[in-house]
Amino acid sequence: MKYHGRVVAALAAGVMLMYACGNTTTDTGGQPVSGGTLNIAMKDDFKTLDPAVAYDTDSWSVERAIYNGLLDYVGFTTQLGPDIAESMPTISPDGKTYTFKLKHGVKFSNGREVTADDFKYSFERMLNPKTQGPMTGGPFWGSVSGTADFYSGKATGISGIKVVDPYTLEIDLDSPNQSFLNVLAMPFGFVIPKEAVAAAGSDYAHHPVGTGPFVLDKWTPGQLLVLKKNPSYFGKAAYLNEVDFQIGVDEQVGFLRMQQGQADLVQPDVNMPSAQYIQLSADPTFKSRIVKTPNVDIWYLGMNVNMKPFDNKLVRQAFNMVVNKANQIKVLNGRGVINNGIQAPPMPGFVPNYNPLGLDANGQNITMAKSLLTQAGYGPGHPFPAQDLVYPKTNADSDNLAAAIQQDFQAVGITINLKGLSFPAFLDVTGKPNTTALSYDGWIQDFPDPSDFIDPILTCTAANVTANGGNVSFYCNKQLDTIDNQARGDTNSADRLKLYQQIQDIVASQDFPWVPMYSTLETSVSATRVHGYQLHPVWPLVLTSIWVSGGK
Amino acid sequence: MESERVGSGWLVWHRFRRDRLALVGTAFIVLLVLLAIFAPILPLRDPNHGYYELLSADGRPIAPGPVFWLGSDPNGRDLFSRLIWGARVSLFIGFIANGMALVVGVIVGTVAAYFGKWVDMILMRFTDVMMAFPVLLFSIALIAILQRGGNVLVIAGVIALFYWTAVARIVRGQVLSLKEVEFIEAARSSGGAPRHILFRHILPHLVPVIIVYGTIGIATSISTESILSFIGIGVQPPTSDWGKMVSDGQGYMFLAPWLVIFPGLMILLTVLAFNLISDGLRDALDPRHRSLVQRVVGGFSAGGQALGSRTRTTAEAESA
Repeated sequence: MKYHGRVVAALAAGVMLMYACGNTTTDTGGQPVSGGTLNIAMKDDFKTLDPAVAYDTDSWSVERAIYNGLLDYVGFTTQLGPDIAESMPTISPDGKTYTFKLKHGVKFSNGREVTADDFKYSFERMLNPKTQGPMTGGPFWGSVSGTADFYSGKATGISGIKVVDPYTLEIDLDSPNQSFLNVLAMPFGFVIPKEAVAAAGSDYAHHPVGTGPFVLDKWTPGQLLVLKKNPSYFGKAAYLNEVDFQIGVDEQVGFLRMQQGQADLVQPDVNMPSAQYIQLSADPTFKSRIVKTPNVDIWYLGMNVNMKPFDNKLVRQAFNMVVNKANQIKVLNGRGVINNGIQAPPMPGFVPNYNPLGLDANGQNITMAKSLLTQAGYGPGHPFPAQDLVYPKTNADSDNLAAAIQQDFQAVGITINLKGLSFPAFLDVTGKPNTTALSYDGWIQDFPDPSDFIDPILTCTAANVTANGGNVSFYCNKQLDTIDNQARGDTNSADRLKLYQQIQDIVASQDFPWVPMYSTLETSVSATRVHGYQLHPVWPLVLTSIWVSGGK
Repeated sequence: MESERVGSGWLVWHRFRRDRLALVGTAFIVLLVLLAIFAPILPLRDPNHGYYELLSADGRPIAPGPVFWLGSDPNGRDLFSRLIWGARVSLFIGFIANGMALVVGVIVGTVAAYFGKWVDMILMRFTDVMMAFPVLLFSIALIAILQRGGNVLVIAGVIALFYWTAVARIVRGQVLSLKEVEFIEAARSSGGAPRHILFRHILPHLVPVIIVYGTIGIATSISTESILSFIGIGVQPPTSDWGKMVSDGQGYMFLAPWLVIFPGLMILLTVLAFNLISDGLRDALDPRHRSLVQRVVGGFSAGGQALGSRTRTTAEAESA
């Protein structure tokens, strides 16, 4: 998904192979105790708790606690396992038919049992253009048979989603898709009861009913959202009796409250701001309580290949050698690693120390960059035109990162003007063809599969989108698309990952639509009475593992 | 006429000079203006250059010391140099915004009061409407619509858009009372055209008011500009600006307090200095209003008499 420092920031990665970067859990605090209330300080109110609509980590933090889908990630890993499904689905040999058996006795918090009809209803409601959810017409569910007819109104239901019996659901795809199970595990695949939607009318977003370990008890917009433990939850019960989200608390105030024992977690779905991170990592009480884990993300400069001067490949190659990536990471307080490719650690198939251009330890080669610019025809007589660097302005850190880039380009005689925009404005101007030449972009996983770092942001299909597109370079290489389509259906996972590495080579050492820069580390901290708080590789917040001292 | 003006100028300076605080304020502003003007040729570091190589691996701001006198920000930029360059922006916007506000305010106030009736009605109701707008909210909307957050002239314009109203009201009040004074009536009855009366007879009497409110206005404009930059719609990075520096540094309040204290102090001192100057000028130009400071410190009240004599002499001179 498009990276937004505030809204989308916390999907972190659990496979800890190439990182040795501290704890993933805080202290275990002995035996878990049940009971008590957890206080979480949040800056903004939740936009919606309708799983068909929400596409931000704030909302997902709460949705994960009140809903379930067919599948979920096992524990704190990226491994998928059954949730409301009884077991992993049986997949037909052609890879196009998925059959799910459901658990018996799973109940919504209103007391009714979940059946296959509820899934068909929830999926169709979620994809219905009238619901205005972000999945409608998108790539993730596009391979399900009958979606095109459903979108255009030719069919009233999706023919590919079939209720075989109350406990059996069948999903047919038009073409095999190796990441479809990941798609099902996203919050858009959560099951909701029809009667709750009918009762809430257009305001279901504020009256959610699910099957999860918690239920929504109270939501005073702009002030407080209270979750209570669900006594009839089908899985392992949560330790906490209650979770209070205190809304409207600025991060700085939140961290002060935490230090005074008035808040247990502060904006847990967003990376800690620089200032708080440096300060708390020097604090004797809190330094051991900071948890870190790699974010599955990539930050890069997008160069629009259809716009001057970036239509010249030599220019794009030269730009790939100018940015001091080490300085970017310094501005992020060392919470990141240089990345010269397009896949993020620890995505399956990620190549450690990937460096196809032979750049130095800072990710630069200024001499080479200068000679490439000369080759491209720029020099004293024909100076390089000043460029606007468009970036999303989320906090002081974003200005600082952009300012460092500006300074890097001074070294090769290129003037960069900084143009910080609000996130919606940024999405608007970078997603439109022929509008933005140079932008500071980030991409964070929707799910832990390498296809998510290619399909929505580097393919010709993505380049043909005319509004809010993810392919900010408007880069299109038919050869890449062919390999990508081949990889999508490839059932041999080793071969499949090789194909994705081939795509990385095309992008990072041949066509240069991006200047890949770095991937970040997620950091978070909890109050001393909190135990079992852990960062999840995919979910922004997991409440079920947390308990508080003495259960109070 | 001419000799009278020179004479009152000396008188004003004589009175102003006795106000120590105003002199201190003036000295501060003069020094600041000189530093701001000569910043490019002073031996200062580039305010926008980040000395990343001097930063620790976790990007901690460098404390004040021998390398950076006032410390560095998280980008390794010299805070001292950024403060001086920031003065350019703040003072420039302060002067320009205030200049625009004065011009508009004086014109609207004078025209409304002098012509009265429906002209007055329309202009003053419009002024009331402008005053009723919530300044910050409207500035945010306006700058967002104009899509020119970084342009100093746009920022100055937006500030001026709200502060001319205060000037207009005060000027209107002054003109209304001046209109009834005998020498103006005399000028009117002897056939003076409105333009002649406005420019030759009324405007010169507004000069003290304009000077006093102009100085206060600079202080207001500078603090408003700081607020706009603080909330992120003022001057854009990497340009150094006091309000933006406070805003960027606030997260580091406990870790690197210099990031907030020094720019905050600059805003405070500059606004205070302009207020002291205007206070001193008001006393010097119009001793009827004793400043609070002087009333408390000095405790004598011979002002009324002095004013009475001054008004009389001016009126006599005008009618003569």
